[in-house]
Amino acid sequence: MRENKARARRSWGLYATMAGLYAFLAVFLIWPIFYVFHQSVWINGRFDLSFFRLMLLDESLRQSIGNSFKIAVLVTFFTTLISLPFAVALARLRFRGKSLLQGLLLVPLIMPPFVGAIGLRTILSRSGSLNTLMVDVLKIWSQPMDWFEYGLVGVVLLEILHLYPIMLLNLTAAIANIDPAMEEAASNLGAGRWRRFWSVTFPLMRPGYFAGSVIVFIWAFTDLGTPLMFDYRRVVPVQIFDRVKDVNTNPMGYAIVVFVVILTAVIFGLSRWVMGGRHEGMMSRGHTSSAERAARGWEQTLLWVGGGLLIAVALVPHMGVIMSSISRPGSWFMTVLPQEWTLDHYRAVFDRPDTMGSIQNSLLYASLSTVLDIVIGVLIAWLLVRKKVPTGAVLDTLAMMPLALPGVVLAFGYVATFAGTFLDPRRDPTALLVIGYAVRRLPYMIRSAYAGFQQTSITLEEASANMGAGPFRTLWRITLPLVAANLLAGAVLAFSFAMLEVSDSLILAMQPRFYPIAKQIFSLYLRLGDGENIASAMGMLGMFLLTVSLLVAAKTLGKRMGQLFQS
Amino acid sequence: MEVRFDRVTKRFGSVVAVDDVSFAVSTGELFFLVGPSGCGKTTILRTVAGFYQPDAGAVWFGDRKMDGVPAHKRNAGMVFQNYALWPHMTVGQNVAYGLRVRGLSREEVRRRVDQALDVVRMPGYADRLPNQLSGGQQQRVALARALVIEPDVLLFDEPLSNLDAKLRLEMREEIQSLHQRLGITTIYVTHDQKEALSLADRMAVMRGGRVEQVGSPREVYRRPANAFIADFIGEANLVEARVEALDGGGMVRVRTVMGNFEIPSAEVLETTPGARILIGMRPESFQLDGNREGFRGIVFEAGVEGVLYLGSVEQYRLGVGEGRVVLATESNPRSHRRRGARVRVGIAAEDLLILPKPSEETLRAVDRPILLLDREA
Repeated sequence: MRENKARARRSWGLYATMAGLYAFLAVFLIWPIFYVFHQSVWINGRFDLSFFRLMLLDESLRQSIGNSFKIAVLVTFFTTLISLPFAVALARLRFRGKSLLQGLLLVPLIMPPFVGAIGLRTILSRSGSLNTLMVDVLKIWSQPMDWFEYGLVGVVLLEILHLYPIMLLNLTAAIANIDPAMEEAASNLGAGRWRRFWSVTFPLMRPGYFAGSVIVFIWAFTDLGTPLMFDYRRVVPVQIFDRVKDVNTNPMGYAIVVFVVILTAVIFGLSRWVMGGRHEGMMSRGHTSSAERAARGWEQTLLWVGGGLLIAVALVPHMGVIMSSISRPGSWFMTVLPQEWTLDHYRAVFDRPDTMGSIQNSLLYASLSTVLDIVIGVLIAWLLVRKKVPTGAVLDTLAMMPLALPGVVLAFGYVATFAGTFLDPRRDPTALLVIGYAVRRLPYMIRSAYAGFQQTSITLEEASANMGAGPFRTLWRITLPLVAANLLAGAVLAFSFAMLEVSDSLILAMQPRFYPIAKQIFSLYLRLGDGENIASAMGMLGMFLLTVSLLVAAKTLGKRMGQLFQS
Repeated sequence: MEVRFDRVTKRFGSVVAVDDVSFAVSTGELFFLVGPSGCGKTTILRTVAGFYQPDAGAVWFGDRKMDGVPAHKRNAGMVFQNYALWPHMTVGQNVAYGLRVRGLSREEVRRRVDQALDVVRMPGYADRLPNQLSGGQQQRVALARALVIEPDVLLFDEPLSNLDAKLRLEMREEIQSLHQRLGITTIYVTHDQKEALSLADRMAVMRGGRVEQVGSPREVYRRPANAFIADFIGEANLVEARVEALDGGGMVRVRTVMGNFEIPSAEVLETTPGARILIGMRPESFQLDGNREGFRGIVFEAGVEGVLYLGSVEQYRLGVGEGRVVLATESNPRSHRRRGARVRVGIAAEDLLILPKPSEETLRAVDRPILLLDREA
């Protein structure tokens, strides 16, 4: 009798928690998307697809869609090209300093591209460093190149340099996951190096490759910050951004957002289908050899030179940001390097009420969203791993959805859905910013916690219960300390991403007093005079914060860090 | 095709995985490499396959030296421990792979794939995916894939270790009959001594990167070269013995805690009186009411200290005084002896395993205590 009652009470709590989690995800993830869908096809009380017809008829929108596709395809292609040789080498070769090179290659991932855009523009502009160097100093070119005639080059370049680490992580993992015996069997039956790669290695790494491509493709397609900084407005995310202001009067925004959602879903669906649910799930691995072999001398040289070049190029934009942040306004024009140096811009960041205010805002938003992420992430991971709750798969899928959901879509949905309610971002975006940041980074938190729970044997908790400790004491004294490292890593990531989050910040924060860092950088950048330099200084502070926190996360998570960026 | 190892050494960093190993596998032979894990047997197999190149010495296929010949040019079919079937290819495609690489015509490939699947008793499975097969079936497909290329040498890397006990016995017989039919030179790696004893034409027992003995299963079991082999292949009670006297008829009298034995002096390395040697006694060599006629050996009294009933055999721990214990088994046990019972135990001189005095290293590898003649107080 007593046991039954206890069980009933326990499952009550469980179901209440589940209900709460579902409610949260329903309101802040599903409902906004559904609402946008509804608005786009439900006109004057009936079903109508005319907005989509109008969207396709609109010349500038058609162009934007074309441009976005172009960007996404180019970025996916070039990131593959860059990453594949490094991935093969990192998965198959053993050499001194390998983990250092691996770490260095990932650095560009943490550099927010919309900050890098400031630097790249100053370096590559008509009167910028590169042209000055090549034309006036080295006299290699007869006249300056105009790299940004179409804006496309800059956006694509920055996206490639920013996103190749994601491709690299996915490809390396895909190759490393292949049981070496699979390739040995091919050699054993007479296949040479190329045949082996194309008939065995490549097909087996394809799922991982597609997973990486999908993330890169969608990321490049929907990134708002970079094209905005290049003032390259004819791309889908900027078109959405421009329509947020008149969300109540012009329904075209809904149609574009729905288009992006459908595109995303189709791409994810396609990739799943191409990967084929038919095989995969590699069989058990033999416990014999390691797939790695010692690298030959020339291979090492090539790796370090190639890797060094890649990282150097990838960091050029950020070098530009550093210089911009310490150069006197107007002193970096038609010269290779700035002519006058100053630390005033950093002082300004801390003195000016708008910049200081935005830092305080971001700290507040990021802290709150991290707390929210920890609570929700730990609960979901715990339910999934330890409780094996019914509908766990649904909960998992839902909570992982933000990985695929572009930031612009969610932010647009929030503005549209919560307009006129007490959450209206026009009045005070704090709540929605906090929730938006949290929802977007929830998958990282869940994965970190999930991994923690999985690595921690349940028998350790059972042993605690066996010693007479109640569930709460067990959780507090045994479980949480054991998974603390994972939680810390997840939280650090969630926090630092929230600090520099772009699309939510640009769209949701509408009044200057609520501006977070990203929006403040953007608005400073548009200002003449020293605006650009102060924006650079803020960007530097942000990147410094990101670097430090990612180092902390990498230290605690070790190799598993990479898994957070795989789909 | 004869496969020969000529003083092969293979190092991984500072670890010597294979240490100056020489042996030859003759054409059509089913040759086993046996030893505890980490003894270097898999390294040897992978050196034959060409996945490793020796650091010193050479591998020969017939009169061809295999130095620098890459794995895909060796025509050595291998059955991997985890089968290594490609999950993205059907069974048919897996088996056909080696033939396609060799550029055979479509019809020829089809014909030989069907034939190979017939041989391993898997006809009609060509369109299945490996993941849809049971462990035993995957094993057969892996075997077909290795056989279909008509390899010069067939390599097995612990092929049965992932199967359950019953299936393992079944596959054992199948591999044996297949080998008898096809007559391919075969090298088979296992840590399961029963597998080796039951299948091998000859076997090499390995430890610490070295080959300790090569011989037929019967030779290795009846005449193990040292205490480690006596204990690793089968079981053996290790008993210290002291040479008492050398008689004129080519016999040596030795003393043990169980009594004195007369053994042929030709087998004992050191016959000076007072020398210490080691004798191995298989548990099944003991005759528990052994006082039969024509019995040439010794008989001693022992007390039953423990009994394990295993169905086909009954296993006894017998006390032979001063806390010394020997293991004895009786097959087809009819009567049951309880703890504390006294038994008369006989062991024939011809069943004794005469072993060299073990090195310190061997003693560490053998976890069984040795029944010393004089115990320190």
